[in-house]
Amino acid sequence: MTEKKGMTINQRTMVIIGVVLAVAFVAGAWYMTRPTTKEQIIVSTTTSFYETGFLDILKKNFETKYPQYNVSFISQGTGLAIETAKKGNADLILVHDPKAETTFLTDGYGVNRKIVAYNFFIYVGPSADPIGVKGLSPVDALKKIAEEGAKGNAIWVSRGDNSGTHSKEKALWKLAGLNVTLLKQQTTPDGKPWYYEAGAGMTATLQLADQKNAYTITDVASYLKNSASGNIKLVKVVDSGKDTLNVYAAIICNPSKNTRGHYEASTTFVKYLASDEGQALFKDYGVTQYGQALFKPWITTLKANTDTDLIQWVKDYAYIEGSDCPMAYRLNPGDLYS
Amino acid sequence: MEIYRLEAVGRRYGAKEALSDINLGVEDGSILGVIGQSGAGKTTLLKILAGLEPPSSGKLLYRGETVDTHRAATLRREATMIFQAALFLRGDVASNVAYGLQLREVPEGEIESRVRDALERVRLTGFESKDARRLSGGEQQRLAFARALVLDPKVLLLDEPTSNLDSANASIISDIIAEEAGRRLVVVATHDYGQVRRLAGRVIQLEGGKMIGEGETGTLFADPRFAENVFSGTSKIVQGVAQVEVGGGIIIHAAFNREGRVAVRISPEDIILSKQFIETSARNEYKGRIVAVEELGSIIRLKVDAGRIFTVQITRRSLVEMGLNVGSEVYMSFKASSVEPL
Amino acid sequence: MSWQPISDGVTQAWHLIATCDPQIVDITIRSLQTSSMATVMAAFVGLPLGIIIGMGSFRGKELVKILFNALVGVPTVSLGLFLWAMFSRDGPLGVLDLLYTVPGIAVGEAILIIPIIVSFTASAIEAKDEKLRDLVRTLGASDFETAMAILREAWGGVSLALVSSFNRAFAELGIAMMLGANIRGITRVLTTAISLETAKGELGLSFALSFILFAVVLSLNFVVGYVGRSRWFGDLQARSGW
Repeated sequence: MTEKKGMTINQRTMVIIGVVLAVAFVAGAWYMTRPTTKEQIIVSTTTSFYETGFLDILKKNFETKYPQYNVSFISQGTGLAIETAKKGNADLILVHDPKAETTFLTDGYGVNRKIVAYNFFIYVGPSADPIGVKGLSPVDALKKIAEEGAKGNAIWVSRGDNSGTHSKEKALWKLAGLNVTLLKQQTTPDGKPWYYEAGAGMTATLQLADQKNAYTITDVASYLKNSASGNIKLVKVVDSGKDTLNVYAAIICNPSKNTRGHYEASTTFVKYLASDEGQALFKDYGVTQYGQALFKPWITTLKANTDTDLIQWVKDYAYIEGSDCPMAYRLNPGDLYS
Repeated sequence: MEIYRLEAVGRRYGAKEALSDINLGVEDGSILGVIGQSGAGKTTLLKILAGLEPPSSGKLLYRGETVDTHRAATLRREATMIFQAALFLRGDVASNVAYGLQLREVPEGEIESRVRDALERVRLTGFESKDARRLSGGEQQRLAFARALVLDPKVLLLDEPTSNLDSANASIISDIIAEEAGRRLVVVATHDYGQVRRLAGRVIQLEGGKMIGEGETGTLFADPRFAENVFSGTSKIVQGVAQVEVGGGIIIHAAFNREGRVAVRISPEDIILSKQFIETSARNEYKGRIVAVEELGSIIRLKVDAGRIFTVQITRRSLVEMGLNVGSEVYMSFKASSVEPL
Repeated sequence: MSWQPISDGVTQAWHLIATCDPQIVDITIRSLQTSSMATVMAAFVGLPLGIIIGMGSFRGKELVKILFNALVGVPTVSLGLFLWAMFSRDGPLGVLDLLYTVPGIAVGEAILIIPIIVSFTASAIEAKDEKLRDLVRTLGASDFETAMAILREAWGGVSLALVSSFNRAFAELGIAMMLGANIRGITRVLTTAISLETAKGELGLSFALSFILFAVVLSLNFVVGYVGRSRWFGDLQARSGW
């Protein structure tokens, strides 16, 4: 018989020990992996914003100033981001779709909307620009692309995912007087479609467009990032214009509907975004890496009041009933709108 | 005391009735033989007695109490069954033997000595660290015995304990079984009638799930249903030896005094076969032809036609070594003293 | 696409591992925590269930087996979506606050892998003869002891079930993404990090993380396999009558 020192451990005891160990392990791990001891602010935001890497900087700086908070960003498509907030899983949203934002307010899910930054959507395309849209206005460019696309001379790639970028694109087609549904069904003389829907995030869409030597619409930040890392060889063909304005706003989830209970913390965060410090973060991000800032600080621009055309464009596009946030949806704003 | 009582016990599996209407009482300290063909229900009966399966109908009493689910657990602790094909747990010989003792929470020092004794009993001393699954067939069966005996059960149930063994191992096992008589109740299911006649005091016979015979071994085997090598004829005493003419040209020499109409019987194991004529001291020698071969594990039953049909029992090894088959010509011989008058 | 991203990935992976980059360490540990929690929780439910099904004989047993086999292939995105709705604050299990936490991901992954454990365990146990059951019972084993003996004899198949489920949980993306949302420092694990870096276009880093993930799984499996066959473990088994 094999040498056995000590007792033969009874089988039942073994099983009990095993069970106890298992429970202890799970309990311990559960405790070890609890989210955070600090108060957690969950910000539901969009993928394009997330993919620029800006949010990491934002988090670091905010938490340095307010060490009692932990900011967690959840990035999804704009539609899902808003849905998440509606279901009570986030404390505030940070998106770039004024129409959807308005609905969010009027449906009672949000309060105290504050515009914090803006940039432009740009069109990018093959460096050769075979159909010559360079320099055209955003709307004219689309008309040209549709014309040439149907002839088989150009390909267009759309986000196709109901994101902020996609909403913008659809609005532009509408301005150009074209029906996207029809465009999607068109085929070139070769029998292939020319309007493609990626159904994916900005980077993936850009890569698809790059592969196909196609034209597409993108936000500046995503373009610069992907271009700099050599992922794509597309170039800017249509730059800033009134119609390609991209405006970012934050809305706090309505505390009477949201049970997470971090209203105060969320307010602190939004105020931070609007503060000089926060605005400076927007202004500086990307300059060293890409030679130009990926975002423009709205409040700083508004205060400086030098580019009056631009300021008017933003107000026309992103103001609701004449301001960031209609009075009905303001909740103890304090100095938020001063 | 009466250990088991079965009242109209039956067992069915789905549509199949493996046992029906078994009525039986079994006393302690005896050896009970259960005989019958394959599929007659022997294993099923043993499993019921072992508490491994409940009867589908009827009542089973163990030590006077009806066996229900709760009592069955006690029964399983007190009755141990040894199966036809031994199965072992992962591990060495010692741990296999020790398993049942560990279940009963026997202190470790005691386990060690009991295991050693049990192995000695089955002549497997020193095998403790060997891998149980690597033993030979005979060694495995002996190990199965050790595993059961070490528990000192009140009832030992054996299902064909020697049918797959060579004669050396079979005889070790047979000896052990014989030793157990008196120490505890032993129930042996087998189709080796010789084994039953030697070991069992009482026998029951199963066929198609029903009990068709039951009684003291000697009496039962005297029953004409067990007629093997039973011949009737006229006996004449010639020079002090009875000569019985049984027809077919066969005159059987017997060592008894009777004359006139007699019936005699010869045990199949007492008949020796040879392929050539050998001059022996046996008074009975006949030439015949094998007309049937029945294989029963390690023993073989042959029917040899020498004018009358004789049933001869030999080992499988002998069959193989002698190259016998249906149609083979053989010589049978047996002593006059082997002839039993009926 | 050239080989560039892959070779970049390999170099980066080495660098990250060699310098023990804190972020990488953080997400790797979190991956391990999540999947081991998931496996233990799933085993809690799955092992007894698998044993009962494997050993039992009841009407509908075949149906149950087929059901669990099918559940092994449940699309994780759909399961993730379903659980997301359940764990959401406005959902039935909202009070548990599982969304966007590691325990939440672990619970989701556990639900995902329970069918694997049940299926594998039931099969392994069924493969062990009914005769084994009779043998052990005639030697005096109670129902519990019988189950333990059969489990022990079927241990090869059962441990395979556990290892496979762990591997599955470790490599899981859909559930981790839906229920965890890849929050840096809180729910970011290897798989979700790979997904993010890919979306950001950081292909080299993505490949690096993928290599690391694969390396971790391989090493773990080797260690477990080696320990399982070692002398020390065999002795432990013998001592406990296992």
